[in-house]
Amino acid sequence: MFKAVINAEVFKDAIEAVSTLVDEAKFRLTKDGMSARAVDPANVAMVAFDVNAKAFDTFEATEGEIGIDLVRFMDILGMASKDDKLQLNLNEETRKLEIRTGGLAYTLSLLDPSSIRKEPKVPSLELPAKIVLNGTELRRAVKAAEKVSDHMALGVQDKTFYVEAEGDLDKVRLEIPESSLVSLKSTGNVRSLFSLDYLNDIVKSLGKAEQVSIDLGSDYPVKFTFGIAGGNGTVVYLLAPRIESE
Amino acid sequence: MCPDHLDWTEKYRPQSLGDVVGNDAAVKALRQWAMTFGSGKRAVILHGSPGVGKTSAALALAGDMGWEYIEMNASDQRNKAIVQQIAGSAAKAGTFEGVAGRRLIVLDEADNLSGNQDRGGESAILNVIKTTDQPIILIANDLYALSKPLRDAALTIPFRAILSTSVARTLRRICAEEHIKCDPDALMKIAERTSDLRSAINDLQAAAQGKGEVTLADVATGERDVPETIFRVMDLIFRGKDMMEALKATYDLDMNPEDLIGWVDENLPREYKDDDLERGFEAASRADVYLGRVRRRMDYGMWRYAGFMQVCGVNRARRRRSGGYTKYSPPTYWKKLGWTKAARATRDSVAAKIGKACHASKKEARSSYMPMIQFLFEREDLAIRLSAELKLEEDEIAFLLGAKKASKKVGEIYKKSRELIVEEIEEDIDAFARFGKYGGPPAEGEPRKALIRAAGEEEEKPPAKKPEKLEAKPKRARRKARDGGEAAEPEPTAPEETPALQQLPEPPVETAITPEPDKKKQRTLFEF
Repeated sequence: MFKAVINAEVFKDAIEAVSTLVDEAKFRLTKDGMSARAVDPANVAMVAFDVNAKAFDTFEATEGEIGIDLVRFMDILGMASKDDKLQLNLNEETRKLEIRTGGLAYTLSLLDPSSIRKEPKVPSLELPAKIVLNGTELRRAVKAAEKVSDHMALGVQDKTFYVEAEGDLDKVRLEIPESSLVSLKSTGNVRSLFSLDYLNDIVKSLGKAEQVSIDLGSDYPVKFTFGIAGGNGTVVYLLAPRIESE
Repeated sequence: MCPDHLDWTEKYRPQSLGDVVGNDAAVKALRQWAMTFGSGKRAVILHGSPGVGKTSAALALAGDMGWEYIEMNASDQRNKAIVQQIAGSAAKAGTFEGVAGRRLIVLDEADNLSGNQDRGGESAILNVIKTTDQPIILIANDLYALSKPLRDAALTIPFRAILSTSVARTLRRICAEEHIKCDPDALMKIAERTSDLRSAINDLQAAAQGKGEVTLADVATGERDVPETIFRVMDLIFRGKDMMEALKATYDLDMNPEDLIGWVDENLPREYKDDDLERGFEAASRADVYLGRVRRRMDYGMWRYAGFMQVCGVNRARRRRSGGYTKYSPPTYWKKLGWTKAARATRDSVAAKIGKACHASKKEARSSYMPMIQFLFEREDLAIRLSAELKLEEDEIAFLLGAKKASKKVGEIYKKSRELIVEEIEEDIDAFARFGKYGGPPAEGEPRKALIRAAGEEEEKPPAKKPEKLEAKPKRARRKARDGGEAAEPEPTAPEETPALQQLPEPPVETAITPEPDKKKQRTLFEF
């Protein structure tokens, strides 16, 4: 059983965090909220998504799993206007999700959860640096890097967080000293290289967050953590590093 | 999903390379490649017939090496963008364990890229292989369906058919695990039908599931369809005594009538002689007519008749039998089309030019006029004049002469024809100039001035006087005319000149068509 009411905009932003990486996902429902774990087809990026029941106006659910075609789901959510309420109701018999918003009633066919890729095991990583900053800053850095290259380095050097992209010809570097960050903790200098294809997708939803915390290592995956739905949910992205070939 | 419903082929997929049945040499080579990854080629191609363990070996390898893996197979779309996005990203990225982590990229059914849906997929795969930092395994049934650069970029490991004793042994093991009583003869019967372990396991599951035992009777029914080879079918068509047998054989052939007729067409002359050959081609061409209708009307019911004609019709056409061995070969039709592509394009462009000059269709020009013009081209003076008239390019002249483009003769005709074109245009300009201000034949350099004035004139009444040839580059010509006109003489020339101008068959703007006079015009512009 699943029945919930939520602000359309809030929900759309939340789901977008998952839909930027995968086309279909398995959502786990519990009485306390909904969550999803998904990894992109190339196994390079992973998302862990959790929304607390408090983010919803009303939320009732029993333990269960639903498979959602996110492309179609986002399409439907796009029809809702900003302040609309979204009513979600799972029809157990037909295995369809009924979505009501602004007088529209959609029936979305669900996917068989067993047909969706297995949920990844989220690896536990001990990363030496932790940076907290405003999401827009990071988005700006990614946009700037995109102009010159297809990959970008994130790093910390002498208590300064930097973003660096080097193309065949051009180079861009953005440095943010500790004073301009929310916080910076690091046990040394770190640096890892990442694909901008993925970062660009990730900053789409990450850029809207007030505070993003970045866990960083050297030639290790990066972890982005930020809140969604007014602090009643979190999204964690994990991105595998790019191999620096000679 | 209830485990009972799991495919046994999935359930008993080997977890480790050691469990892969048969193909010891291939497995060893694969393990060797993985152990030494980093030196040598970064991709391997596993090839062999279906169900012999290629995919299983690849996945087992990932398990043994502790590599994570991603798989792209025929159920995924694999066009250029998607291959780049998924395999490309996966090949350049480390794993969630860091840059030292390995990720195996398995491209299954790599020889089954659909030409249309997976456009550019093969070259994208090659690109990924060239730049990858991660191991890649390509899996294919037919190694030679992959392009040569791809084959060269990777290590190739062949997988061979599995012995039926090994197949039977595996079946017995599965029966034991599933607690199924089995008759060894029944298992052997399944194993002997095919050298394909996957289909054998499927057969076993079909016979045994839900029953708890397998007897010979359970497996006696139903034989597996064994695909026919084209060579056997060729033999049945050309030499068979029973045309229905040949027709039935084509049903088990993995080829549609459109491809089959290529084979019939190619090999018919190797088999039949004289009147047999004539009758044979009569039948084949009738089949081709049906195939044409299939194409045009999308009426696939016609395939049936095409099949009858090219198999039974051709079979019946033979009256005389001869022994001996004939080597059947694949159709060269498409290859020939490929070779002649450039020549056909030239032929069509010549036909278009002739057609335009003779007010005939391209087709008509090709069939009626072209042979005639080819004949006329034997005389060089005519060749030059015709080339000038039709404004032929070098390759087109070469085509009509049946000579090479680089040959001296072609070059000469081309050069002279161009000179002729220039001459004619200059004559036109001079003729035009005579109607200008000065009346009489123009002195040196004068035509240009006259031209400018005329051009200014021309602007006033362009629609009435424009001959069809002007259409070639009307915009450019008109713009120049306007510039010239305005700059030289804001006032149009004297009124009495205008009627004469109107009668001119070809105003000078036409010169824009060829480059040489064009230059001339350009220079006049600089004079202001």
